[in-house]
Amino acid sequence: MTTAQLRSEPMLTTPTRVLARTQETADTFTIEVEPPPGFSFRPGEFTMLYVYGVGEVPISISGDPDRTDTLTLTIRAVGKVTEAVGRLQPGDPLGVRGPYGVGWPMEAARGRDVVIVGGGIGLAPLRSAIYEILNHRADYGLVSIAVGFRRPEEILYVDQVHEWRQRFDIDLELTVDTAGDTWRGPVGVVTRLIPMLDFSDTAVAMVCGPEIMMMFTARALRDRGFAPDNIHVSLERNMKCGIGLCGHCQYGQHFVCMAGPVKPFSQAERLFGIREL
Amino acid sequence: MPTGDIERIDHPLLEGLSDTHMEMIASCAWGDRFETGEYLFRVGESATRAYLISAGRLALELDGGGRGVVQIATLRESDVAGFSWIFPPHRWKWDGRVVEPVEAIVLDGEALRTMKAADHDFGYELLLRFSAVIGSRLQAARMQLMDVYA
Repeated sequence: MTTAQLRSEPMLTTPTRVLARTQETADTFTIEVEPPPGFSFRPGEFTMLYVYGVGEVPISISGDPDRTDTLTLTIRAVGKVTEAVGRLQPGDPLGVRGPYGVGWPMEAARGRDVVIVGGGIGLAPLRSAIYEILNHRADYGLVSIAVGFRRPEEILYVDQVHEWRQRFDIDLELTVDTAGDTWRGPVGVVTRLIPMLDFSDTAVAMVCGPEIMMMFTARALRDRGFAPDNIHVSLERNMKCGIGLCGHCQYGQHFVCMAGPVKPFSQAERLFGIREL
Repeated sequence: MPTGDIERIDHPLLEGLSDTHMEMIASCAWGDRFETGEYLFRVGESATRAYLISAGRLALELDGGGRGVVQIATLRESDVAGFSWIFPPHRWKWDGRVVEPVEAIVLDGEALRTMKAADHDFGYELLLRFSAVIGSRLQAARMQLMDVYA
């Protein structure tokens, strides 16, 4: 079944299996899943993962969009289903639906500078955008990446982050909230990195992390001259059906599974400011 | 020690100061370099200086006893280390350890205190700038308290 067919049968779970599992941090892991035949995705889209007998959970895709041999998902074990996914080992079965949602504005970003800001597990959905940019590096202008974590032990994709830092065609800054005296990198919140980033006034920003982190980051970007329409954030809500029917992910007038998760800050800021939502 | 050379004093903190005020700054400022592992200040010591950093990285940290050393912030190019010289009892609240060699304009805090008391226009300009540094540091500390990556 191709992605087009999967999109036309959006409630259909495809049985598949785990190919590999990597423990990233104490509570976060990455699994490689055998993709359904013909599966493809755009950076920022998400899938519904089904652990048989336990339940279903929405997970953003964190892998390389150009790879068709594997579907990569990075997950923090914070609930019944994600903990069950965390117990799966290579060869174990699980179901996949999707991909769903509106991803990062990769087309709009072509020919422009790109700023990527991730906080904690928020780096996972951004990683597929970073892959996309690196796979087609000449199509983009300056690329600046800023990522923040609580502590050095919580840094995701450590080896890859080191590799990216050594590249000459992107600029990556990393900070942690607190550290011991063996840490030689920056300490402080991720917004403290924003004044150091290079970009032109037409740049596109992609921001992902907890809402509070995205709000502070987007405001800091705006203070540096970003138009709110050019800042894109990824909304997190409890997606269930994935196709705008059940209403679980309603956020104001939006169903995040259909209208998001990625939205311009110009639209998201108002929602962030409503306490009841 | 102070060179009096305002041409060599360039830092965002001082942007927009009048020539007169820059000359006052220059009268108590000098450039210096500090090597990795060196401490610019230690908690509890008398705070008599401010450091306008132009390169390198300085960690603000405390020895938490059984918790070991905890870094709470690092400062780098364009940052300012030190506002304890402004407020009594003029004692450092943190250790400042050089992580990467630091180049900085060093300001003599005792001389600045004397000048700002004698010239309130100068004092206003100076405190306005240092207040912005304090505000920014406070905001960063609040965000760290909020645990924004949770």
